Amino acid sequence: MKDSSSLTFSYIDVEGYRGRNFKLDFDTSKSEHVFVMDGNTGKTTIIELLRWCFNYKESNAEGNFRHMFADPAHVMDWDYPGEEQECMIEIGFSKEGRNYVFKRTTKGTYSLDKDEDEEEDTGDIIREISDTLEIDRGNEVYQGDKVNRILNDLRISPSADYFLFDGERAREYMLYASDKKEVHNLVEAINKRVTPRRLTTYKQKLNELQKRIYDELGSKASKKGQTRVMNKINEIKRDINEAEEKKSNFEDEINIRRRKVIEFEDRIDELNKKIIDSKSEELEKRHDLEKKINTIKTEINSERENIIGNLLEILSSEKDFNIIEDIKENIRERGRLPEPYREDLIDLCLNSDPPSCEICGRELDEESQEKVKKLRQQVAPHEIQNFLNAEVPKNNKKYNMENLNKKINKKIEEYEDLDDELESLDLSDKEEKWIKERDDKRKKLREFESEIGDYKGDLEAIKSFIDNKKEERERLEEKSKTLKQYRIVLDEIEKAKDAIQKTKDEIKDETIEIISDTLGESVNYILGDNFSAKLTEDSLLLGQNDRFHREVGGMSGKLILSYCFAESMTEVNPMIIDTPVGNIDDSVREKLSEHLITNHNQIILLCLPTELDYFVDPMDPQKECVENKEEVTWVL
Amino acid sequence: MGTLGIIKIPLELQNLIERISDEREDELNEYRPSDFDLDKYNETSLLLQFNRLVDPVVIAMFIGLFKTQSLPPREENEIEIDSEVKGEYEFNVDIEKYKELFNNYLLCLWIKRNGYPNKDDNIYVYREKLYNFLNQINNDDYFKKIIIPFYTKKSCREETKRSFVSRLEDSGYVGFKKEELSMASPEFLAKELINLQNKFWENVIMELSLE
Repeated sequence: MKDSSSLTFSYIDVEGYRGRNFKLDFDTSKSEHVFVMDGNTGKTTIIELLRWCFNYKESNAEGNFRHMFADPAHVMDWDYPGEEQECMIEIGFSKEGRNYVFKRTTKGTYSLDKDEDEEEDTGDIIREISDTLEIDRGNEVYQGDKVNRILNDLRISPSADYFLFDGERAREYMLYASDKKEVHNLVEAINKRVTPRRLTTYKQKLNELQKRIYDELGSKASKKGQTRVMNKINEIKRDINEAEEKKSNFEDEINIRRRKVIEFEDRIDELNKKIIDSKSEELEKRHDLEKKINTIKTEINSERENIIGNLLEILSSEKDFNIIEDIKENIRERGRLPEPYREDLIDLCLNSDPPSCEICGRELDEESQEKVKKLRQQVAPHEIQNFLNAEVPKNNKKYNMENLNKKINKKIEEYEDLDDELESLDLSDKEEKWIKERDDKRKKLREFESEIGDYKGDLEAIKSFIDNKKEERERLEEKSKTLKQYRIVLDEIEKAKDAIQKTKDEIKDETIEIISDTLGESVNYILGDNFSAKLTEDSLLLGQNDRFHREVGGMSGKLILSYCFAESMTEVNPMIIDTPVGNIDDSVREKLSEHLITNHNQIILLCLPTELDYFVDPMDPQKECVENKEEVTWVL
Repeated sequence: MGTLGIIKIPLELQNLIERISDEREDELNEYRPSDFDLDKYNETSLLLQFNRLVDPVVIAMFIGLFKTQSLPPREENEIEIDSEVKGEYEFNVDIEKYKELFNNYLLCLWIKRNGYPNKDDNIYVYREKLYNFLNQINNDDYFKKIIIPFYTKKSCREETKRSFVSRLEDSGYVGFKKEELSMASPEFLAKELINLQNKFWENVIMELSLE
């Protein structure tokens, strides 16, 4: 019956949790252990502490202990409120020839302060929870959340809800099996149990890979997505074609105007030549006047440019800035302004511990400190001292604006005279026509040049637009290529996921069938030939005379069904059971007892004294009473 | 002082800076204004002669000081500047030299208002006041946030004629005939700047030098 590869518990030691202090030792050479404990002495607490330790990793343990439907329930001892407590549970077990010691320590206090609703105690104030797992007497030691991962690998954690069996869990299964609204809980549990972990891991990895590809692509690489990208590429191509057309139009417009400019320049030269060649005195005069006017305009412009360019410099020139420096010196002298280094000295005095004079070393009393602090207000920072000592920024240039103004005014007068003279010239109609045409052509020339400038601007903008669109097109084309390649990979991932799902479904069907058969056999053995049980993907039903229904079996039958369900779901062999018989009829107890002995390499029963008849006695194990601290809770 | 960064300036001044910035870009791209009378005005904008975009800001700041001959507000008045000075511009240049000159003028103005340290006065109280003032005007943050907006605002507000900044904006293109000349010609603006500077010197600096 004993199998060294199976999980076998050797002891459970509880110190302080909820005020319980006892140790349950199991003789590993024996299969059955019965601990007789009276009501309210810690039976349920043991089961719940074990579930808490196995189900919740260290970082998630706080606030997750459950007791008798209270969720969360306290773990600290409420008989010692406000006191610092350190509770400990140690579980010794072996599996596949290796010895393990799991230990969870919780430090904290129990607070009697009322909660927000002023109804209950605040309860636990946990400071620290720490898990340790020691393998083969310290050969390997693990701490923290890693401990739970190992318990998971040993299949203890996934089985904790089944091999740790009590009335609460039995009621839960009965409720799930009997209530259509709650049956989904059972279905979820079955699914979790029958789904092979490795396949789930593979599927997860495929999902991760799929997500990584989606993230990298920024889309799901669907056909719709690919079509969208292609449509966008076509749209961009159309935009580029339109823009190229516009660009070509702009270039044409520029060329037309450039040709016009050349044509007009030629015509202006021609007209100027005509004017010169005409040998007309008036025209020659006009020509001279125009030249002079242009010269004067250029000179005035040059002077004005000079003024604007030097406007700022006027501010730091022209004046005798030594006067300001004298004023500053006057301030320094009349104000007897202190030297800047004093500030450092004052800081040193005040910041030393205790504050003391940096020169004579005398300790400064409060009055002296106040005086030194006042002195600080008399001290200018270095920046201010530098400013007061610095020369005024200046340049040595002199701008005689008066003369410059006179010069410009004179040139303006000259310009006006020349302009009047130009206006008064008496030209022939032909000459007037030439001049007018030339001036008109010059004006038009200017307009063309301006328009060329505008078109050049438009041309640059459209070139930049085309470049941007081309870049976008290239990017999208690259994306489309990548999408196509990734689509192949994604299709393969989908195929692999489908294959995994199919395998999972097949395994699930088969496992459910096996569990259902085992369940049926167990129920049949315990309750008798006319009873059976059936587990499907969405129901757990007891059957009597081949009639399966939620209402079959009564309380006793349903309890047996719960037992058998838990047995068939656990992946570890031992069963630890709190109040094992409860409401089970006397007639069935013996059969249940035989069934448990036959099917488990280790049975740990936490019994009430009333449960011994017809149940424990046939097992005939050594019975132990359990003591809490110094007080014996029950003596057989 | 480091670069100015974003500073608050009156909208009129912001328009002027943006105009110069646009004209520089046009010049670079060889654009020419199309609605332009070549015979009447200069061909390229005279405003292009400013070495830096910040130059008009500095000029406006000094004009504000010369015109008002008033000391800057204390820090609490910043709220007023926020509500009255609506424009802003980012300058990645420093104006250290002009800040120093400006602060020297401010110091003279402060002495003019508060007098030289006098033997009969409580010299400790005087020093404290003086240092507080110098600390404030030499503080870069105060200079950027209070002094520049406060004084440039003063140069943009005229009761009887168009403001200096507004006329400076028009000085880009100026005619050559007397009847076409307005108060916006560079020579007129320079003369106005010098006159204001002279008045400040007469009323503040020269008087102090005689004390």
